[in-house]
Amino acid sequence: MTAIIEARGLTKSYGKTPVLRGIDLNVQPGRIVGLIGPNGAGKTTAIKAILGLTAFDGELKVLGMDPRTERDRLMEEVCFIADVAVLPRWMKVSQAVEFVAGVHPRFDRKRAEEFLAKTDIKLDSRVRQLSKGMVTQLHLALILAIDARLLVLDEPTLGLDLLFRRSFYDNLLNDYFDKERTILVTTHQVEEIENILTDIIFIQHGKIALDAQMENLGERFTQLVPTAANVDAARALKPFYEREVFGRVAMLYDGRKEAELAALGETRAPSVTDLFVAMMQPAGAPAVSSKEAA
Amino acid sequence: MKTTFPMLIRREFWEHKSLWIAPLVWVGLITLFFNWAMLHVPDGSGHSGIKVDGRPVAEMSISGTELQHKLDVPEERKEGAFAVSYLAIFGLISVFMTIVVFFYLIDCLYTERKDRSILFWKSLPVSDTSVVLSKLAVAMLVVPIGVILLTAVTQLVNYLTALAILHGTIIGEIFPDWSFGAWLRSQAIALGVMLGGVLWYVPIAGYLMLLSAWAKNKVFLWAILPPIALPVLEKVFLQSNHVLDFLGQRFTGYIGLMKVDPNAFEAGDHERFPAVNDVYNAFHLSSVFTSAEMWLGVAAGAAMVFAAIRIRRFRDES
Repeated sequence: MTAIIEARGLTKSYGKTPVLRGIDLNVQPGRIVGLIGPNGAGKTTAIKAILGLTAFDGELKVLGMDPRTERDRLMEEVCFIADVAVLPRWMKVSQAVEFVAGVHPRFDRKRAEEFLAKTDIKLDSRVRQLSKGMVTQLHLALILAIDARLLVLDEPTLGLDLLFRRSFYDNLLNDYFDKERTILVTTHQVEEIENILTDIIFIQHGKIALDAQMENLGERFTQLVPTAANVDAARALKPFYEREVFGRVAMLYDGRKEAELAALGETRAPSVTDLFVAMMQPAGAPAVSSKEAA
Repeated sequence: MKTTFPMLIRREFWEHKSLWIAPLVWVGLITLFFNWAMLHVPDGSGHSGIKVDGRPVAEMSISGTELQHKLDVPEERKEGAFAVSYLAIFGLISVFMTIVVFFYLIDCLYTERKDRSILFWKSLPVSDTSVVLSKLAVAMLVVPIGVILLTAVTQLVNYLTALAILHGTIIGEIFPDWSFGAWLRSQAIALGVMLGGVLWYVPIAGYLMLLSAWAKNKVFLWAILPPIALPVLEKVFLQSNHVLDFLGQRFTGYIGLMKVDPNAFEAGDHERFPAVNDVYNAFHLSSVFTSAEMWLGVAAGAAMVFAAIRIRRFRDES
């Protein structure tokens, strides 16, 4: 199957500061990919490159098109929510629907209106009168009604309260996502989305630190809390990260058989949050650069 | 390909309400003022604004026929008054809308960057070329057409109200009849003057759009400071006036290009109104459209609009 996003050696600097240092990506259809990294890691820049909003070096095809030269056509099949603030504040809700209906060939106006009817948003309100959460709902209503192949979300729930965040992702899964569609979402709040993702990509200092499918994580990574006697033996197996919790040491391993580690203590599958914390450690802790053949 | 252009145009009027509210307020004021003035024209018994031979009509103690004879105006002069009033309304609306459009143009590619809504617009399948051209079309096509139409409506309203107000008065006797010929001819002149004006001012529109797309902030200052500062600097350091001459020509050269003859609007020695043909012949539109200077300006304007499109397409808003 052709990749939705295929990047090779994506590079970008702002002045002398490198932001992307040779990123490779391969996103397949029907996946929900989390692009996760700390602030300033290059997430937004990578997204902008994918959307043709910034210049870059390297090869990049999105839906088989080059975002640099075929942006107008590309945007017919790609949707994008930057963050809650970008809907124009002067616009009426009805105008937003009218406008998208007027310019987007794949917009289903009825669908957007049905979705809005389920919210507290009034059609004659202006965006500036809506709460932050409602603006996001409005944007989501517009996006969900567009028959697009790729949806790109850049910190879509930033600054929203928990209820809005939860319903945002619920709506996304229930009303939008299907096997034909692909979602690429960036966030620095991993725990928020880890249960909806099919793939995770960790990005740090402009490089990919981890690119893996969720279903393989458990097989590949193991967390071990060795018994006191086994700590040295456990270290000999080269964990890539260790930390102390309540006087006991927790170690993370990449590619060790669970059975082998279970002999030394208590094992479990690390959460994405655990992995994120481990891999985003500043210099000192060995960064694991690993690519997985998808 | 879906035709998105009409929607892009409508969008501009949603956002920039001043584009349609301001002219309506303005013609409302013009109409109010004009009718107020009419109401203060003599009604034969009351106070008077109009004078004959230096004396207020109301104070004259001569018979109606005598007065009528004094006020007798030939038809071509009445038509002249009709045409002048038409073109005066056109001028008042045009000058006002030039100011409105100035503010629209410096704002049109700037606000979307300031409030970051450009990321929303750019998430839709609308090319930067379409967006920028839609904004140019609003300023240089939709608004000018609106001015022409609004002139026609305003003139009609004011003509009818003046007719009603002056009915039965002495002034009513000499008030120009509705002249279909003069009406049509005046509109044709307004249209020509507008078309030439739009083409003449394209480079200034292009410059303002370019600034609007480019300036990080203070776009208003960018729009007005260089045209003021550059001539001053040139004068101070080089003791010459080339920039000033160039800018002066760009701002006011259009009037010179039309070779408008101001005397045409004056009444002859023994007449109260200018002759209608003098009014028509005061505008030399053919010299506008054959002017190389104007077409060079159009080319420069097109280049600046093109630059604005490129900036909107490739600028990285971070």
